Amino acid sequence: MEDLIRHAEQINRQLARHGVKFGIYKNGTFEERLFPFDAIPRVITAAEWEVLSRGLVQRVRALNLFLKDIYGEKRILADGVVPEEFVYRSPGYLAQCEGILPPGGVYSHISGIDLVKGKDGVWYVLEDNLRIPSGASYPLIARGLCRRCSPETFRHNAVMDNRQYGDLLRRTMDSVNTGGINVVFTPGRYNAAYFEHSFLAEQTDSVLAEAGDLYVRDNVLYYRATHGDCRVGALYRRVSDEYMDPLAFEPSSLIGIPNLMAAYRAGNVAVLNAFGNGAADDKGIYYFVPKMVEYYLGEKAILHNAPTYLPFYEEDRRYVLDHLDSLVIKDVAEAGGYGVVFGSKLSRAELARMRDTILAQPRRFIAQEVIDFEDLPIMEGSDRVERKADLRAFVLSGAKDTVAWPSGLTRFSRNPDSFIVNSSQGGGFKDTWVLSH
Amino acid sequence: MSRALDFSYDITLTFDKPVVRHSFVLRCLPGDGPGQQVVRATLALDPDAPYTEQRDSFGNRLQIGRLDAPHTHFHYRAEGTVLRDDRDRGGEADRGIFRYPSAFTQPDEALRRLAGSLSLPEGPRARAWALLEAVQDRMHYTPGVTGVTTTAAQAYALGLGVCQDYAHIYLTLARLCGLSARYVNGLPEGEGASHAWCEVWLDGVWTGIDPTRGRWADEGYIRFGVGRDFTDCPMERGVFLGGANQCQTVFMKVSQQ
Repeated sequence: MEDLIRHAEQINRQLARHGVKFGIYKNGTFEERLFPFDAIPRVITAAEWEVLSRGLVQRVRALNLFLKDIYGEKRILADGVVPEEFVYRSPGYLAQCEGILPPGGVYSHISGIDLVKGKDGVWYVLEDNLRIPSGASYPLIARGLCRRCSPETFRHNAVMDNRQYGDLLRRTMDSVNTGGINVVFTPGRYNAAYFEHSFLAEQTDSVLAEAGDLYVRDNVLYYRATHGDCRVGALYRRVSDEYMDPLAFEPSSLIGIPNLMAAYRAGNVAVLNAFGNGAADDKGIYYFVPKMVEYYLGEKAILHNAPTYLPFYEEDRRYVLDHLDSLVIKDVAEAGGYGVVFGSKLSRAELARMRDTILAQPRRFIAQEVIDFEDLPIMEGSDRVERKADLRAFVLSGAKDTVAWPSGLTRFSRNPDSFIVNSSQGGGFKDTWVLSH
Repeated sequence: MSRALDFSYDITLTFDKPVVRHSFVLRCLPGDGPGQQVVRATLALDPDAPYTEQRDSFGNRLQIGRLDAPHTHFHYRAEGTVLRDDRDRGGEADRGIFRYPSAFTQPDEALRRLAGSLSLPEGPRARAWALLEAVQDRMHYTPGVTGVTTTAAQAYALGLGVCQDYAHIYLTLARLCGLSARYVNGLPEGEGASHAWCEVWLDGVWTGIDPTRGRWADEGYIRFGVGRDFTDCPMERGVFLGGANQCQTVFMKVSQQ
């Protein structure tokens, strides 16, 4: 470990040279930033991973079944397990997807599940990301560099290899491919995760394409190649739903593919992840995920949610209003660490305003207990300090199986007082080691 | 009473400069459905372009295609015959999504206040009619003030608009008052432009109601597309390359056989 820390600066230099960056919009201008790497890995023991990975697979299987259900039969709504308005009012729900069964019946092929480990040693899921979760490339590339800088470290520690992510992703794409090439579809280089898009295209042996490279004819998606156009069977898209097809979604989109929806509806192309997944990773729907696990799989949920209250229900509403100053309030429509408010940081007047907003729009918010989550050591110069960190685990679902990648992105907050670790808010990352025994 | 209606519907798009790579989705042919049977329906495109047919998630017929070669106009003509008969209807499925606001029917404070201030009669049918009167009382039919991106709240604030705006305001109120209601695009008996109205789910029948004309939408109306609001079922949508200005003319005719 000490050896890795000695090499931290070198690894960060290498990351910069490889172009490992993310972009953020600040005051209206686009800036590319390095994502600072901390050399001390997060370590997950084999026993811990055994439970975690089973829990992750279980959770993602249930979420996929939920999506299939709400865009199909709607049993869970008819049975009153999830109130229909949580689906139909969700900004991520797309009526255009009703009745469409994606190839292989899979909706969320690449799921990013955000967890934290409490000081009590229990892992809690904070949020499911089923649309276009990013971040797998960071630990992947960092691992490679660490192994090169300090091969010794990996000889002495039984760390499960994580460099098979590209193969797993490629297998996932192949398993739903309807005939044709695999394509990674990027909005272009001014996207926060452009580095990752190009990296994953290379890792999966796919073609990296932008809107102008792709077109639909007779309900088939084609890629314009120099030596003639070829059919696309699987599209790993890193563009949000609303911009994907100007004829089906946002009409003003210039980065979409006209009539992609027609090719998708006809079953002629797999889209990873499927359209409309936002209906299942909504912060309001999160509350119901353990219930989904029981409903669809007949099993108790292995992973815990953070204790969550829905002001939509009267009993919860009363609790939330009585304990507002100790809860975290989240706006269900926001993402990326925005719209998150800690009651303890609000003034009297702000608390009163929040109360009124919740009373006026109870469906818009969830409230959670603040989890006292584990601090991880990071190096701040030559000092070892403790900071809050979370884990984004990646789960891949193909036509046949669902697997959890034995690694993940550990993000930490550089600000000692902050619980918010999103890269868009200026945090750093670590490698995540899963031990094999 | 049952009626046989002949319809024709022409749209011409003209561009002041040639455009290419023109992709389109049309919903310009009626489909079979409760109370409506299509006897014959044809579509002619000029310039001729191959198209495929699909149905969207609301069951509307789609005609999908693209025109790659440079062109300065795109004309299509739909025509046919439809049998309309609203006797013996019933048992039609309600759908949850028609009970909640959509992008264009999101209520604002003013519409919420209006819905709360109405003293509505008992019974869904009487209630549906009272909402129509509420829209008629407050809106003044005025073309050219609103456009395809005007929401119910914006049109209501103006107090002005056309059939699309009347329908959006009606849907917003109906859903706030607990009715399942949906948007309908189509052709009523007569000549001129295409029309928009609403359907309200009453006792197992999606019952047509026309807030613009202040009447039930009866067997003189041919349904082309339904949805939560206008954006779910426009009769024509297209994108193309070329910095051209587009001009659209529409003419439709529906008459009893």
